[in-house]
Amino acid sequence: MRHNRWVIAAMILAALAFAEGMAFAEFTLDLGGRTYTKWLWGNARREGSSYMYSDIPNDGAGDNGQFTEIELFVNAKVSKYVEIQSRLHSRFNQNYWTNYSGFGGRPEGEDPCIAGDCGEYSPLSNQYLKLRGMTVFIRPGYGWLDQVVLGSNDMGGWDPWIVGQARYIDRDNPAGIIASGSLFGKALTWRGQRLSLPRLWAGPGFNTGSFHSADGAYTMLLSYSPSSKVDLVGLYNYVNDIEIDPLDVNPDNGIDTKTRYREGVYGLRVAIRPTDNIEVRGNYYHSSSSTDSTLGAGHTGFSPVIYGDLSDSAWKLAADFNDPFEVGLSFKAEYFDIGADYVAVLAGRREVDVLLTEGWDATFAMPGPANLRYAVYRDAQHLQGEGLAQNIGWGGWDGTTQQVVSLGVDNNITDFNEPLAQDVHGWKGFTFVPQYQAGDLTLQAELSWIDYNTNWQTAWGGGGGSKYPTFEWFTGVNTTRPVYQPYQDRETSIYALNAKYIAPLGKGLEITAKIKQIDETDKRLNNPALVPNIVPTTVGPAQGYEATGYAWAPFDDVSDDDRDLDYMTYQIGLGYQFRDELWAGLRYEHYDVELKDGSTAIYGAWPGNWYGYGDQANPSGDYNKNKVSVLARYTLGGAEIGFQYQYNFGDFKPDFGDGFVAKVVNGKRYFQSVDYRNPQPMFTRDFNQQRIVSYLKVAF
Amino acid sequence: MVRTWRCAALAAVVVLVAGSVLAQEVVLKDPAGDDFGPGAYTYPTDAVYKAGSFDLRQLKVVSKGDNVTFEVTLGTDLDDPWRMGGGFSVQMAFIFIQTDPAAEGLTKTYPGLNVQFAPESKWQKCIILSPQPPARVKNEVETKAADLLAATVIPTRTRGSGRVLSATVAKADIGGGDLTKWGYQVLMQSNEGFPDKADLLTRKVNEYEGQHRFGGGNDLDCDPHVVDLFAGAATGDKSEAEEQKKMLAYECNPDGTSKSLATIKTVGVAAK
Repeated sequence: MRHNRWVIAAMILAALAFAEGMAFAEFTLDLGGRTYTKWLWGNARREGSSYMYSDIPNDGAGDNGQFTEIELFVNAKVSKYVEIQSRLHSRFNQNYWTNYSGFGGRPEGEDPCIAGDCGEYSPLSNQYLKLRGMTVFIRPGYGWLDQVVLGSNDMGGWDPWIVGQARYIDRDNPAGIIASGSLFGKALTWRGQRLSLPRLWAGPGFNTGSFHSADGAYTMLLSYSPSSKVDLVGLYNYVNDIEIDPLDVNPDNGIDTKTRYREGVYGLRVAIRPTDNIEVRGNYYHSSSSTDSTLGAGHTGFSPVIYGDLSDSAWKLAADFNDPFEVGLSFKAEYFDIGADYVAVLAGRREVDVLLTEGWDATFAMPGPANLRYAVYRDAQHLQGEGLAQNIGWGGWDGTTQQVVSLGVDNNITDFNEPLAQDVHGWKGFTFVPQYQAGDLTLQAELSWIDYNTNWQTAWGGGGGSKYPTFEWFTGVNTTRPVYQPYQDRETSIYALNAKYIAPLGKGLEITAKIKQIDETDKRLNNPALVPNIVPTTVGPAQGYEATGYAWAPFDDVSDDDRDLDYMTYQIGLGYQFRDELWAGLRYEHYDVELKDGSTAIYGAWPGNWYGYGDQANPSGDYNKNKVSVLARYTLGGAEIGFQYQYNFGDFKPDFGDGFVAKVVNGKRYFQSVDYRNPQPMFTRDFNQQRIVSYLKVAF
Repeated sequence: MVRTWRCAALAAVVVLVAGSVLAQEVVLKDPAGDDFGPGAYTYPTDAVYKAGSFDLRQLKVVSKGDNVTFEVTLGTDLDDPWRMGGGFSVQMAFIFIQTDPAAEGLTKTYPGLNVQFAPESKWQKCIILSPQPPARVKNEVETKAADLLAATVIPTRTRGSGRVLSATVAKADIGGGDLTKWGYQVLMQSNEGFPDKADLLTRKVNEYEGQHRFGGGNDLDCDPHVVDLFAGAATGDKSEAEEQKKMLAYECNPDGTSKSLATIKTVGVAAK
């Protein structure tokens, strides 16, 4: 009976509480969503997945197919204090329309699912709906604590040099608790988080070891704006990747842990606006990091962090002068210096751009003329089937690269028309950007001079070759992870002029044009005493070579490995808004690149090639690349359709120098230093790549 | 032949002179650092919302021939992080125009702004500067503010370059007349690609700022969702920040409905 009284009392209290809540009448439940349908077509005839580039094992790239997904947003405002946001999303990767709604298929077994062939048996193709993100907002109304956010967040809003976003499709994947508040009438705001460390990539070797559930990052941000002329922001982030202590075998008193990877980064940002048209900004960051090789954090070469105990800094100073002479002429300038050993494993991996320079063009994103990944790994992919091969093709990606300070820079799961990110560890230099605007004409130039903190003549900066990630070294015209080479003496200059003009024709004809030059030299090894003088293997007609001689060129002079790049880009584009709902455009791009890369010819045999040139595809020669794009966007009644057709054509004329003999296969000459390595054609290669990406988006 | 050239040259001179004589220009200014709405609004926390992104500094209206060009200058350089294609992503500006104070006009505004105009400042036309495709903006107006469609002018193209949002529209679409005698108001908002069901591409203002929400307001819709606007004489004098606070003052009922909606006035020659 007494029990019932308590129940009744509780019910009354609950009813009162509910009534209290109803008095504010704030409970709302919102349902919304979006559908996204994509059409891909390409003459590479790949069908690994629904993305034109992916290097995810067993989920390779594809340039053909039709795919549909749906997102459902379920949001609720429970009370004045509590709000919920969530997102459900159907899986997209291999759900080809030709799968017949995922019907049938085969169990995955030992063979990876590819091109949707596992049908209903694989979540990559069976169109199941997945909880992608759920976030609870609690706003208690305390003076010092504004809000607590629990659950998914995209790591945005901190600082991309320390903690930043990854891929857009991953925007709900990170999860943690964020608390924020303010003091002194909002002049000082603070924010802190405990983020669960992503086990898939946020540690040495792109993992966080076997014990992952207690791994975390702890971030604190203080922002102080005493006036609209000054902003000060201070941040600190601590990453703690722990493992079970292997020596603690007594569970009676709990199990001890040891740190596998630890990282502390602090940063300071200052923005000063002395006048209405001048802004000066400074960013300074310092990292200290440590790995424990006894806990599975030994050097693997494939890692988003550097191994060992180290510290370094990164900083930049920027100034904007907005039309100081009131004639339409503005200036931007930036000096940057990013230490070779600066490490922030959670720094933005994509979706951000930390430097002023427009940098490199994304069409040369991967090594080799065909934008393949470097040769030995491409071969490994081929063993698994052509559909898994990781390349984007001759055309590469569109546009210019975004710069990120992340050794784990990530361009996976993208189509060619999406932005490409490039790691800029070690970059130091100066960028100057004048811009002139007069009516419908905008002219913008860029002058950048880049030196490198990774220029060193002690192999791997004195690290003995053991501490730096060594995947995707600087090869070919450009790559996105051109970070650490054993020997480097590199300088880069970028000069660009961009123009936009709205010609008074009809509704206004949009004309864009661009010319860009990149000059780069890398003398690499400069110390004659360190020239390896490895005697190349002698080969002859018996092995299929055209004559008896060396299989690769001798490396007996410091100039043998030199690199010299002359790079020109020319672009012109037209765009026109035919109707309110239809915009269409046409763009032509031409790339004229002359690369003399001595390291191509000194492709030594592994491991005799003691500093790794053999692991690269670095073809020296002349590139003549053309891109013709037809673009359209149609918007009608809540639906948006985008379309881009691209025809990429041109040729690559190899010039690997001399000092070796060519292998002849089917009457054609190849450079092949050792049998197991992919042969490099020495004849002119003609390219013809056509592709289409089109989409339909409808929000509801 | 000579006569033909002379006639042509004379005609060219006449056109140039007439063009310069007929060209009209209005420049209105707003002080720096008053991008705080009614006084306490704060920016969303994501890095794309740079300081000064919504800090209205100037409106320049230029009439040339049959067209009128609107240029809205902001407090920082424009970026296009969401690749909208027009040179900017996060901003959205509503340019309200009172072409004739004596004519029929409107005091209500678009859903998501949560403000009204004073009766003496009733407006006849509004030009929406948005990075979204014009058809999407039009569709939003048709579905969420159909009664304002006739008064809405959506430029074929809105550009962002440097610190300036600009668009050119046909003068006839605004109704003609002497633009130096019009009244103006610019309401600065943020382009929201996933707006609330009732909001016209506008970003919410909440009590506390979030990654993509402004802070300093109310979690419900009784607060003005306007970050900056012209006030006072629109000369850019610092005192106009206080005028702005007064104009955007609002009151909420306990249930979150509006008790007193922020009431806006136009500025400029014709402003009352």
